[in-house]
Amino acid sequence: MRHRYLRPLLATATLVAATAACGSGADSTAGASKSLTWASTGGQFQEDEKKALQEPFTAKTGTTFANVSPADASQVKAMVAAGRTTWDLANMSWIYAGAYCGQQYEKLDDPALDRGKFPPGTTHDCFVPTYRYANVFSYNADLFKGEQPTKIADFFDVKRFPGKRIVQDYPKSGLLEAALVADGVAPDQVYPLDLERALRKLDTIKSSLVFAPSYGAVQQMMVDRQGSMVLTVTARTIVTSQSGANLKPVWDFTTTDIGALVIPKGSPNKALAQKALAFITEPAQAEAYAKLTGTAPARADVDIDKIGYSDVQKTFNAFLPDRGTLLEQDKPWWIKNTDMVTKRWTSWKVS
Amino acid sequence: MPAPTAPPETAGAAVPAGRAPARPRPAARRRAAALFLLLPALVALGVFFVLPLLDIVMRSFTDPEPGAGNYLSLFTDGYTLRVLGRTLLVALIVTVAGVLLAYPYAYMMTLASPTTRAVMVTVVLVPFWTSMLARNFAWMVLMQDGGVVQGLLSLVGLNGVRLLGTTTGVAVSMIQVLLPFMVLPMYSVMQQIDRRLLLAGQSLGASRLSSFRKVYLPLSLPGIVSGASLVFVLALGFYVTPALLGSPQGALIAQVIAVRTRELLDFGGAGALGVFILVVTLISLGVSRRLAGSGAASGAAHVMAGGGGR
Repeated sequence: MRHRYLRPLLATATLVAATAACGSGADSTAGASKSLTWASTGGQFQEDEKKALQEPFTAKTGTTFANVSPADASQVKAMVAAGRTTWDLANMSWIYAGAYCGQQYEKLDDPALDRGKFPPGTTHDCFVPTYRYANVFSYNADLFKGEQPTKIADFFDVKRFPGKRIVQDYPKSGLLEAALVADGVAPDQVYPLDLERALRKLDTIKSSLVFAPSYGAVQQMMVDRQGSMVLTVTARTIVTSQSGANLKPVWDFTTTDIGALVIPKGSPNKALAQKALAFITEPAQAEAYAKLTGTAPARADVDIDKIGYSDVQKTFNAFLPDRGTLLEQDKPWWIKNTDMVTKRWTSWKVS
Repeated sequence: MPAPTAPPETAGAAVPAGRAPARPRPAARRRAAALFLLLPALVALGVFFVLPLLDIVMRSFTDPEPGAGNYLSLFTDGYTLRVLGRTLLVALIVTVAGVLLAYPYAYMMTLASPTTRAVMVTVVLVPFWTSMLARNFAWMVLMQDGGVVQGLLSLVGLNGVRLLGTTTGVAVSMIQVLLPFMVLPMYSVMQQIDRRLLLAGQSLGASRLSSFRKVYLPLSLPGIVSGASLVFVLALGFYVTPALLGSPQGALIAQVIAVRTRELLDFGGAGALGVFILVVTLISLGVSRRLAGSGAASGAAHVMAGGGGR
């Protein structure tokens, strides 16, 4: 009896699947020629991108933007594997573009993206920076009325400076580099990074470390004085300070990094996406974006002094004079070792 | 677009039973009708659940290379088993604590007036109607150092109890969210128990306690088992609550799957971990079903569908 229904059932399933595929296909290709799909973080930062980066490009070329969020590397992998890439530009960690360059991400070959315009060590076949930021070490000044932290080593000294250390829950947050320098490694000797030595140093303050699951949690914990010190990115430090935490930065040793927009492999509008990318690194757009977010422009030819930063943005900007030692996070090292580091970091963290 | 209307049209064609024999037997016709009613659900399950699940299983054996390497690595990487053990323990604690809280509550619901009962159902369902993130951030503020919970505990002499960032804090929040899954199946079984049986027991000389223990408790057991197995299975998959209220040192298995999928892009390894959890879940469901006799899990059908507030 049963087989009598099996065939119609299968036919129905196939038909439903087929019509579903047709439906979504039609949507994504409509008007593709002058529209770019932009994947990013969502929230205020994507609003800033719309205002400072997308709108000028629309004004100049008539290209419209479809904004989506979040920009997840796992989604790029899935899209590329399925052969149905819908994103043209994605604001996400350059590690993935570096590690899967040419496989999951497009190589940037537009001559307008001249790598010589960018600071050394910030570019790759598959990415150029769109802005620069730092992993800023700051402390809650309300909690240290007497002696105040002045060195990166003080982050690891819970006897003199008690309290929780709020850090991001991913390994490339500047914490490992900070641990090595606090342990006596010279800043220019940090790479190749001695992971085990860094974790041993972190073990000494492990019970005081709080791994924030999100940027919102960092803000909440610092404003509510749950943490005495924090290591997080420039823009988040600024937002947290503005929302009521009495933060003071410590400029001793600071790692810096870049934000990048990458092009997922098989992007429907690769050439146009590269044009947009070149356009948004130009001084006018870079300055507008830096002013909105408090980050620093990517290209070396943009004069940082001309950007009208607010006072709080200046306070936490690592690229102004007298900011101690800066170290750009080593792109090739992180790209090559990210899987190994993530595995070891996860195993260290959960046990 | 024809997509929305496609299932009914083709479903209509899928009932050949109507034209097959001249005078169809009632049984065959009933079966055809049943299949017709089931068809949309079967198609949806097949396309959106069975096929993706098969894909996950396939990948877990083939990505990045064919073989059982992904499964072997679960046992050799040094932390997956530890995290799995912790997850099972938390799920067990949440389940046991949930039974202890929910049983008297469901029992009182059977005795309460309809109005009171409506209030009691509302109270237990409130967590469902709040946004998951809002609820977890609310717990975060309540449980943080110097927060309301610490203040209340210090009133009774318990100073410096840390909840935020601990597995205890995670468990407390999970119990709150999962309580409806425990209370509702229990209540639906208990309301069907004829309370005259208790009186009958007492008239035959049993004390109130022993008539409860020997009559009421066994009759309500199916509700306990279905509530407990639901809560246990749901607790195994919690992600947001441990991520926000717990600490990485106390990570649960869903967080490890997230790291493998989102950071390592290791779809095969994440799939192997997922399949492993699925097997563990099925085994624990099988055990609970055996404990309570078959049919006990049907009480679970009374609970609203969907995973609510994970």
